[in-house]
Amino acid sequence: MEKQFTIKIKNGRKYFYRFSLNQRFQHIFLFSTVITLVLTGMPLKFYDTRWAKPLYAIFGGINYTPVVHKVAGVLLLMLFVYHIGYLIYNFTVDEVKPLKAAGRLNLPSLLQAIMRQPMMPQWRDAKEILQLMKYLFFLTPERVAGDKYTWKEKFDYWAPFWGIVIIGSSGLIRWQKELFSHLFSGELINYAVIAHGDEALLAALFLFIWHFYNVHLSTMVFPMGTVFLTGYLSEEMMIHEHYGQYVEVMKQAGLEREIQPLPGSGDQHRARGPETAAPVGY
Amino acid sequence: MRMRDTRRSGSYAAFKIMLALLAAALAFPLTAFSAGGEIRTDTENCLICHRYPGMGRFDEAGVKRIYYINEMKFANSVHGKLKCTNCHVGLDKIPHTDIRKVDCTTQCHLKEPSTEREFSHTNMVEKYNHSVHGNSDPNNPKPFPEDLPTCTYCHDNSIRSPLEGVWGTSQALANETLSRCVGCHTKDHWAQNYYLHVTHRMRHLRSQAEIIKLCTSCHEDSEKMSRHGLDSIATFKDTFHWNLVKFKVKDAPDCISCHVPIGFTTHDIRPKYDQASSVNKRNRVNTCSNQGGIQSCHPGATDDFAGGRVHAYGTKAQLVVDGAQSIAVEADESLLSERARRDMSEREIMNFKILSYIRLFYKILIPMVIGFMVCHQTLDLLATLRKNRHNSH
Repeated sequence: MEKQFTIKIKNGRKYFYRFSLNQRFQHIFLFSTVITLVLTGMPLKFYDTRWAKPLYAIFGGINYTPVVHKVAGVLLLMLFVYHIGYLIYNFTVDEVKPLKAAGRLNLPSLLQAIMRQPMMPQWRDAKEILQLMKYLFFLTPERVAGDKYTWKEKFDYWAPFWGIVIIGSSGLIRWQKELFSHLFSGELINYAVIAHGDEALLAALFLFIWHFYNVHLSTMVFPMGTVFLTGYLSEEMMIHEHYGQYVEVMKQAGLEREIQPLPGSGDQHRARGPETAAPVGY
Repeated sequence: MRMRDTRRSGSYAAFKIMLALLAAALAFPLTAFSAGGEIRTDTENCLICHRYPGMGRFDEAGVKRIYYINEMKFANSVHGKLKCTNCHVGLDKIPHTDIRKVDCTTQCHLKEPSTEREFSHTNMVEKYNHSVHGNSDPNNPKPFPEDLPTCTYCHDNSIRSPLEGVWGTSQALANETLSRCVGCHTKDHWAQNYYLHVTHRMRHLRSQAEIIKLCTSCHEDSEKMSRHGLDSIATFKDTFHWNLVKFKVKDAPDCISCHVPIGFTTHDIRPKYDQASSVNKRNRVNTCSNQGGIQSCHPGATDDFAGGRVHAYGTKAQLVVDGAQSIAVEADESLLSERARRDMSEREIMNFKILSYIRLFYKILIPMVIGFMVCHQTLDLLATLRKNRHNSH
C-alpha cells in the first residue's frame, strides 16, 4: 500500500485521508462501468420512450449497444471478483494472520473479526440513524458524530454489492439463456428478465437520487466532492459527516487543541441545546 | 403506303411512351417494374366504367365501397393475369344486381401447369378450414364465426413487391438474374411475372412490425379474444422478442417466427395442444433451436429452455389464481375461465405466482427506497438551510 499522511495541510486547510489509491481506482472503474450499463440498458427497458432510440443510437444502435452493454457488464463482474479477492486478502493479512500468530484462530474469533470489518452493519448504525432522524425532524440541533464509515457509506456499499449479485447473475442468465437452461428450468429466464430490469431501475434511481445528491448536489459538496479523486476529505466535510473519526485522528496527530466543535453542539460534542451552541462558520 | 405505315407505328410508339410516363407518374413504386412491360388489355371492357376514381357508393350497412380499378396496379398485382369475371362470377347484368361474393375456391380458367387442370385455391382453403382459424368441424362449431379471418383479411393483395430483396436487396441483382431469363423467354413481362411468382415465396412480404400489426388487429382485442377463450396478445408486447422487433433487429422474432416456423404454413396454424403445432411441447425445442436448419435463433435450446414462458402471463393465469368465483359469469368470460383451467398447469400457475411475487417485491422496494431517499434529501436540505440561518444570527 502507498504511504499516505492521515492529515494533509494545504493552504492552511486540513485534509483527511480516507481512500487508498486502490479503493479510488475500484470506485472509478465501478462508476464508469455502471454509468455505461445504465445508459445502454435503460433504453431497452423503456424502449417506448422518446429518448430511448437516440440514446441507443449514440452507442451504435441495436448492432453495437448490446455488445457495449455486455462488455461493460463483464468488466463490472471482473471488478466484483477482484473486490472479493481484495476483501479476502485484506482480511487474511489484517485479521487471520495476527490471530494465527496469537494462536487464537477459531470460529468465534473469526466471526468476531468479520463483524469488526468496517463495512459490517453494527448496532451503532441504527442508533446513528435514530439520531439523524431526530436532527432532520428538528428534534435536536445536534448532527450525528459519524465514524469513519457511517450508515450512509454502508448503504452506499451494500446496495451496489447486492445489486451486482442480482443484476450480474440475472444478466448472465439472460445472455447465456440456452446454456443456463441446461442447468435450470426455463422459467428461471423469465425471472431473470424481470429481476434484471427492475433491480437495475432500483440501482439507477438509487445512484442518481441518493448518491448523486450526496456527492454532487448537496450544498456541502456542490458541484462535486473531490475525495474520490484525491482520497482526502476536507475538514468541514469530516466534521459534518465523520465527526467521530475526525476527533480520533486529530488526537492521534497531536492536534487536540485545534479540534472544532460539532455544529449545533456546545463546547464539545457532549453538551447539547441550542442556547449553548457556538457558531461555526462554513 | 409505306410512309403512312411508318408514321402510324411512330405515333403508336409515342402513345406508348406517353402512356408509360403517365403510368409511371400514377404508380411511382411500380415504374421499375412496369417499364418495358406490356399493359394488359381489358378484354371485358369493365374499365369503361371502373376506370373512374370517383366510382363507389355507401352500401346498405353504410360502409363505403370503392369500385374504382387502377389498371396499372391491377396489372401488376398477383392476379394481374386474370380477367375480372374469373373471380367475380355472374355480373351479367348492368347495373350488377346479380353480384356474388368472391370465392377463392373458384376455378379461374388458368391452367395449373403441374396437373394441367384449372387453377383454384381450394387446397389452401381446405387446409385453412382445418386450422385454428377455420371453422370446419360441424359437430363443434366455433362461437362467433364472424370473428374468424377470411382470406382477404390477411391477403389484402397489394401489388407485388418490387424486384429487389430476394437474394440480397438490390434491384440490380434481380435485373441481372432476369437478363438471363429473357435470353430464351423473350417476353419481358412474362419473365418478370414468372420471376416474381417464384421469388414471392422466398421472402417475407411484410416486415416484422407489419406482421405483428396484422395479427394483433384481432389478437389484441381482449373482448374478442375472451369470447373465444383466448388471452389477449398484449402479452407479447411484454417480452424481449418484442423489444427486438421494436429496434428493428434483423430476423427479429415476430408472430410467425414461432407460430409458423420454417416447414409450417400460415394457412395451417394449429392450437398449441395439437401435436401438429409448432409451439406444441413436442415441437417447441425444434422451433426455438433449428427451423429446418435454415434459421436457428437459440441453437443450444433444451426442453427446459423451451419450457419457459415466451409470452407474459395474461388474463388466464390471473383467472385461475384469483379463482373463477370472482369473475363475472358472462358467457364469453366463462369460456375463458374454462379454457384457463384447461391450459394452466400447476407448474405454470406456480411460475406465474413466483413472477408476480418478484414484480411485487420490486413494486414495493423501489418506491420505498426512493421515497426514503427523497424524504431524507429534502429534510437534509431543510436542515442545512436552518443551520445556515442559525449560523448567520
